[in-house]
Amino acid sequence: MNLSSTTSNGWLQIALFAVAVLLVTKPMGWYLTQVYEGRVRCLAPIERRLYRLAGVDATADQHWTAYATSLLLFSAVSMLLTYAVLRLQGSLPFNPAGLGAVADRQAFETSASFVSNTNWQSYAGESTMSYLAQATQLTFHNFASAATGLGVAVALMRGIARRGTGNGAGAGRIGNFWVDLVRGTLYVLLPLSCILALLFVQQGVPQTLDGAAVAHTLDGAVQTIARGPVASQEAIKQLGTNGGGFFNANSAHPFENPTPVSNWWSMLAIFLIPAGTVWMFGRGVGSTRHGWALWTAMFVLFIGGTSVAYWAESRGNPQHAALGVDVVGAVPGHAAGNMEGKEVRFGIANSALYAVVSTDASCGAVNSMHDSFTALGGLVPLVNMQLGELIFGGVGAGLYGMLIMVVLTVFIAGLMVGRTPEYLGKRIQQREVQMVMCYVLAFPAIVLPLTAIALVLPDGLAGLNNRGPHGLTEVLYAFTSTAANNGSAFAGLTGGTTFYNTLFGIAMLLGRFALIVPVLALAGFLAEQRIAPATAGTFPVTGPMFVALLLGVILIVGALTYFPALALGPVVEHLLMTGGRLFA
Amino acid sequence: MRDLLYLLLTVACFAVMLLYVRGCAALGRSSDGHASRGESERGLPS
Repeated sequence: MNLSSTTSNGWLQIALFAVAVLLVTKPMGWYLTQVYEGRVRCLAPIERRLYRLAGVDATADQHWTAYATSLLLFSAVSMLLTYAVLRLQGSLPFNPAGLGAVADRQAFETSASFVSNTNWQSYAGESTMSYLAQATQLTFHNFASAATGLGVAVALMRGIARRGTGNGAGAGRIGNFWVDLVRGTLYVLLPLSCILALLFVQQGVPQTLDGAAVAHTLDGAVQTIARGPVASQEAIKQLGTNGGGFFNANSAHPFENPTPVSNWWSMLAIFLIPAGTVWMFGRGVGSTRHGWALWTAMFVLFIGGTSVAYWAESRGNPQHAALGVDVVGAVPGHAAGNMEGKEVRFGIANSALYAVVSTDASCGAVNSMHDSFTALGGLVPLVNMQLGELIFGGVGAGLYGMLIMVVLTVFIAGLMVGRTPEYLGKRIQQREVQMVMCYVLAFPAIVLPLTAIALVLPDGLAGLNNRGPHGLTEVLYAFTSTAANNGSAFAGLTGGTTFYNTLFGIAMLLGRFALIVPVLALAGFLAEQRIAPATAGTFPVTGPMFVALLLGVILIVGALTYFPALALGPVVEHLLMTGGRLFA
Repeated sequence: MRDLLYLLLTVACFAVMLLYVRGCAALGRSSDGHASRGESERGLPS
């Protein structure tokens, strides 16, 4: 019996999605270029009023330290405001269900989660958050955190592209945080969200401010069906790679993601802006070929991850087949694959693809339960996040994560040939490499110690619902997801406790801002430099050799960092499964 | 009381990040001097 039930239909759907990503890259990138070069001015009066209201000089070009300080202060104040609203929602309007205050630990975690673009949720949105909290706080952060990430990527692009003046006046300036925030929101996220929300409504996603619907069944029973302004939140959830759902079941819920068509729009929306930013970067630094080289590296990793996840989930659990409990697949002679935790309306191909897309990006939306994936199927989303979510990645965050790896690659290549490393005419010197290492080391320095702490303390172990390597994977996944600002839950871990809420909140804040600071510093340092002309000794950053070297660096850095933890979790779980041992 | 603790935790996280900005800036200034002395020539001999 052939245990692989991958089908040509499944591969065709994956191929169609891949082609769609390719097709939207250049138009989206071109539009982003227009926005950030200030050529889209249709909402200029609103823009000006916002700047006046906030007392911002929109013409001021900020030094990187001022840019970073503005970003941090904006995030801190908006996080505290969200915390206050969540705690006081019981006394505030737009609360038709009469929901009480959110618990302090959850309010901290949730406000950290949304300000950091993570959108990890340890609550059921429909029964915890008032409409006011959802619309004015959580949705606000969906826009603001995405625009912030986009702004950081644009700032790094400016740092690389600008002809610096050394240490003289104007050195290290990388743009204006407030302008980037407003432009990203007004011209990119808002219009795209409006279009996508309408597409979702057309597919049957609710959009209403009415309270829950009450239905009377034929048996006389009464059902309360939660609903609300779902489509609008769903749109920015995907476009902003936020991932926080209106409902607890996220995109597996039939009101959030009712059809395969809405599922397809969702996945495309997740990759739309990140793919476009790569093209925008190539254009911005004067080398669209370099942009396409980065896009190719991302695409190779995306196809590789999707293929492994689809194969593993289609193969299912061979122990089930051996016991004769595997259901018959659609293709005679093939296994049905692993349908546990998956929606029948999406099937295996679209569940595996969605999981990969959501974790390649920092979205974290789920249309199936990753905890129910096979060991290798679940390994793919985990590895995607541990590589730094640079496979198209989060809005802005994917590009700057990839550029960090590019600088590291160029540095290593320079060492290999014995020349001072250069990247697009900028020398990669001691301080640039120091910032790259601060970025690369910060993420595992958050994930691994916190995972270890949770695995030895009673409060951490109390949250485990699975024994053995699967339990370890659940904790590792949770801290990886929160620190990577992904927000997808592996499930199976009881995370709604003071211990986990607090540690997750800290992981999300550090995972976001401790990585943004060195990126902005790198942008500032590069912006100070003059651009040197390319010579015969300059390492080329286009072409297959560069892409191969970049992929090698990404995979080696990821493997060296996380392989020991992965070996104790999903890898050993897979090996034990093939040997006939399963874990409850 | 716990609200105050979470408030302090939030402020502490962002305060550390602001210090991180200053630290990176200081690191950049000190390394910049080193780089300008040691690597004024473009490229090292192969």
